[in-house]
Amino acid sequence: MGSVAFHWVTLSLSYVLLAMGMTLSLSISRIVNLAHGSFYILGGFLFIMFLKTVGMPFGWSLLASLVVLGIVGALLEAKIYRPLGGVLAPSIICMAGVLLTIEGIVVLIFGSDLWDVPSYFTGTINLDGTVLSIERIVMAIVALLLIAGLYYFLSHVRLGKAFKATAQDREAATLMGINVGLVSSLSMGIGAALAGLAAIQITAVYYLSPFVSYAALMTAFLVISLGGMGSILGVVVGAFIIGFVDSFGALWVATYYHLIGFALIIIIFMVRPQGIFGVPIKD
Amino acid sequence: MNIRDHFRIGVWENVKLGRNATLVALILIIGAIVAGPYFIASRWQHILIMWCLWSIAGISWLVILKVGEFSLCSAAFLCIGAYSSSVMTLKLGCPFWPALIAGGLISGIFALALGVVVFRLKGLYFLVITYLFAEMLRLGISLTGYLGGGTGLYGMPEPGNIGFITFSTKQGWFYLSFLLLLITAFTFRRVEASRIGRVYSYIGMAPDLAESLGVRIMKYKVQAFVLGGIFTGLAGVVMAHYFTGISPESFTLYPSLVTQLVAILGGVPYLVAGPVVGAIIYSAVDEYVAAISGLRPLIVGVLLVVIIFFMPQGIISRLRQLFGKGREAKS
Repeated sequence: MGSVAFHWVTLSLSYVLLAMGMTLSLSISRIVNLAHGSFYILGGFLFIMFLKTVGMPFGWSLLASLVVLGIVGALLEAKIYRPLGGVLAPSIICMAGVLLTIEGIVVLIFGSDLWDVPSYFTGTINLDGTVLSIERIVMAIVALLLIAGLYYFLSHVRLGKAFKATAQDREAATLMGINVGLVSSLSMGIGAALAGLAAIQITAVYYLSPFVSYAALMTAFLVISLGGMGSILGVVVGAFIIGFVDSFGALWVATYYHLIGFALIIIIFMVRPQGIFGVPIKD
Repeated sequence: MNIRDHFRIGVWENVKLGRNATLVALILIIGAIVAGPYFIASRWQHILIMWCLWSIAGISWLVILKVGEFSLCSAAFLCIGAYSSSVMTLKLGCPFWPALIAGGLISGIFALALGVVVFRLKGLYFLVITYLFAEMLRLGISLTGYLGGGTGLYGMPEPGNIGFITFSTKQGWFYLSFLLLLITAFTFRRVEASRIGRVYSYIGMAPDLAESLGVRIMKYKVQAFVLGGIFTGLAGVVMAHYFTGISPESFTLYPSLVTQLVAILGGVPYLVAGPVVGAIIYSAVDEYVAAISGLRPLIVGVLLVVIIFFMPQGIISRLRQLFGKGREAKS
């Protein structure tokens, strides 16, 4: 039970990273970013490429893949999404197109096999009979630091406050001299990089293939719709709930645990459509 | 004109009613003649079958866009139709024809149940919940042993011959799917030409105004959703029995996106003609790239982005523009 609890916490922290980008672009750019799932696989495969094909050391390939992913995300927002002017149907279709395009490119380059991300930290700690792997402890610490850093950034740094202002009222933020375009691009870039990191973390436990983008998208959707669309606290709470379902649920009801998450969502949507901590989004 | 203005004019908000019934009729007749299935290669027969099925799904999706909501669950309706008819023929020993009708109806019932719930939500929430429904359905099926689990169901029996039409070759399937396409096109032409069709576009263009004038938005939205569900379900039935095998993996997000591609490729303003034109292009392209794995999603994805940027109103509008200009230049 102790090791499942440990799995729950580490998995949930990765889910927070995965869904954070989705909620950032939802509250700042007002888009359900279908391409978010492709950021996830792109992160994993860029990392594998830097590590195995280019032969860079672990830390550098991690950093490089996240930077590349951040640039891809920011460019995507600036060049593909923003010119559409925020109209719902065309932007959704465009992002769906990006999702399929990235999936196709990854399949062409890497094939459709299952991949494993090699672990860097090996070894375990035995804690009262519960065995914890050092790699996952490091991952959890990194995730915690990033989440804390993001929270600090959004509430205390000038640029981060600009993010919040843009999310609250885009036009008023523009009038106050905030570079709204830059903020939107940055938010999607940061979100993409976080999703890539989540991919590297989660892949250490599960596996990576070009088709897990849909599963990642699904998880991000579940987390944000449970916790509330466009709320940071909601993402954390939602991620821990879905993480609980995915870890303890898998222990108790075998593969049927997937359906528990959906059942929760249906109940939430009936009772409180904006999610637990969500604010209704004006359309 | 800058691309932003294209959308501002509101092409997307008010999906206009297709005015070129003649064009549709022409294309359908040409299709029927070309299909004299004895004269064309089996590969082209396959393309034409897929053309009919994707057109049906595309029209059904477009009618939901017309009432102002963006659904991501075409795959779910295909899935419901396919699975219900497969279960009926394989497990219950029912003949094909009742199963075809039942597949459409069951899909419609699901659409009704889903629609009553999800149309309380709008915009982004609607999109997310329809996608979640499609995925939940897929996962649920892959966990149910009776429905074949993750491997799916195989070996659906083919319907018996009707006169000279045999279903052991592709000819019979073409005639069946073409007939379905004709029925779909006719139904939706009638719907859009009628009072109901006008109400749909009011709701799509100005839901608040329509509601303030006493239009029961919920009723019409659910109605459009159920109509779409029934016909997508029928297409799903034919797909399942034509391929004689289905698995949960066939109903991911990808078919939903293809449905949208087909609709926007032809042109969103044209409810019937748009998907029909889009589907023939998609089916032909798809058949020739299907052999290379990875190329399919790549092409669909690139096409989606390119169309949105360069032909937001679709091919038909672009052609009409070109022809219109050509005539002006001459005279």
